[in-house]
Amino acid sequence: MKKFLKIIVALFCAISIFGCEKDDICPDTTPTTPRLIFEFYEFNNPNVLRSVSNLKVFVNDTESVVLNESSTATDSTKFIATGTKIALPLDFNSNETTFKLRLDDPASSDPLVFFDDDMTISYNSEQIYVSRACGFKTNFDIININQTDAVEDRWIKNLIIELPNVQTENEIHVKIYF
Amino acid sequence: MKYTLKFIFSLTLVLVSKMSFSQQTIKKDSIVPKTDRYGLRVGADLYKITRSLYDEDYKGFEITADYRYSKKIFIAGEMGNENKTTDEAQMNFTTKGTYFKVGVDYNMYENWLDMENLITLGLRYGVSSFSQELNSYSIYAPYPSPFEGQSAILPREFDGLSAHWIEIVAGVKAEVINNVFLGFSVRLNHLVSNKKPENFDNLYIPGFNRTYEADFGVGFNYTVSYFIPLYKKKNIPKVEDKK
Repeated sequence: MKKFLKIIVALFCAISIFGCEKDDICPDTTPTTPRLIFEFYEFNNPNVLRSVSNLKVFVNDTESVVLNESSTATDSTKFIATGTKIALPLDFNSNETTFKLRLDDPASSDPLVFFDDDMTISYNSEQIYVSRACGFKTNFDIININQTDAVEDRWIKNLIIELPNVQTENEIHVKIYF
Repeated sequence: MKYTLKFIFSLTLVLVSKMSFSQQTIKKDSIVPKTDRYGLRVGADLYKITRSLYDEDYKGFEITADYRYSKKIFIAGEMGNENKTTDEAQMNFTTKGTYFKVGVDYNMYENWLDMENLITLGLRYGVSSFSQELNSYSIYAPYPSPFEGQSAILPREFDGLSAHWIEIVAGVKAEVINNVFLGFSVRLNHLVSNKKPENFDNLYIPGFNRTYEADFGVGFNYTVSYFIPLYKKKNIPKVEDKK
């Protein structure tokens, strides 16, 4: 009887341990839906990185895209990117997304002087199951990036799709030369 | 614990003996001849039936059965059907299927006189055949985005799924009135194999009760069953049976 009770107690302990639910949190290290990563280079010197300052990106002409996630300020600083890299989210409910990239004129200190470039990115998407906590993610396959402005009006002089398979944010997908 | 259990069972014995006293003849020898009744016990899981009533996302039932093979060994099994809709943070899906479990129970309890209570430890092998229907899900994107998180997709069906597992079962059954038993069991399950759907997972398996995404599950049932006696076997063959 005593031996049996020990088994029962052990079984109940085992059940309690295995009955515990792990955190319902999707870990940051798990790759989920990636954004499109752009890196900026000098047009006249294609191997040299070029930094942007005060870059803003819009979808649907007016809606700003958050480019600076680390900014906790409530003003518009989170919509402004500075540096050599930006990450843009793609619309996973569609096969194309149109962005407007607005760069402040570096030659002018007046913030109202800027350059606008429109680009339409077309792609295929695939929804993939990740896990119970993360659910599903989308991976993209870039087909084409179309710059809709006339050649002489563009500030983005050249654009190369480095990696059309967008699966993680650890790689550069598109190189922009300006 | 030992004495509390014996008290509970002796209380049951008092009730049972009140019914059978008039049938017994006065025995001359001091040793009471013991005969064990052998038969089939069939029952149902009360938990699943009541859950079907209060939980609108669940419909299920379970039938249990066991057959006495020897004095302490019972061949036991369960069969059930479940239809469960799980609403998680990232997705909503419905699992429908049936399961069968078959195995052996070993009665560790030494019954007094002609009581037939059981405290069992057993094993089961379970199989389930089921289908999953993914009703909706949201795309996970851990950054601020101007795009909607919900993806408009039609329900996706995954048919022909199956799973196999082994269980360790600990259970108790007590005879409360003539041939009617109330029982309770707890189970620890380990998944042996499962056929997964494409681009999804078996997050719920009927009869298995998976804990998160590990290959372990825990289960329990609360049963009421009826014992159908088929034949009797004498335990001590030398003693004369004066009945």
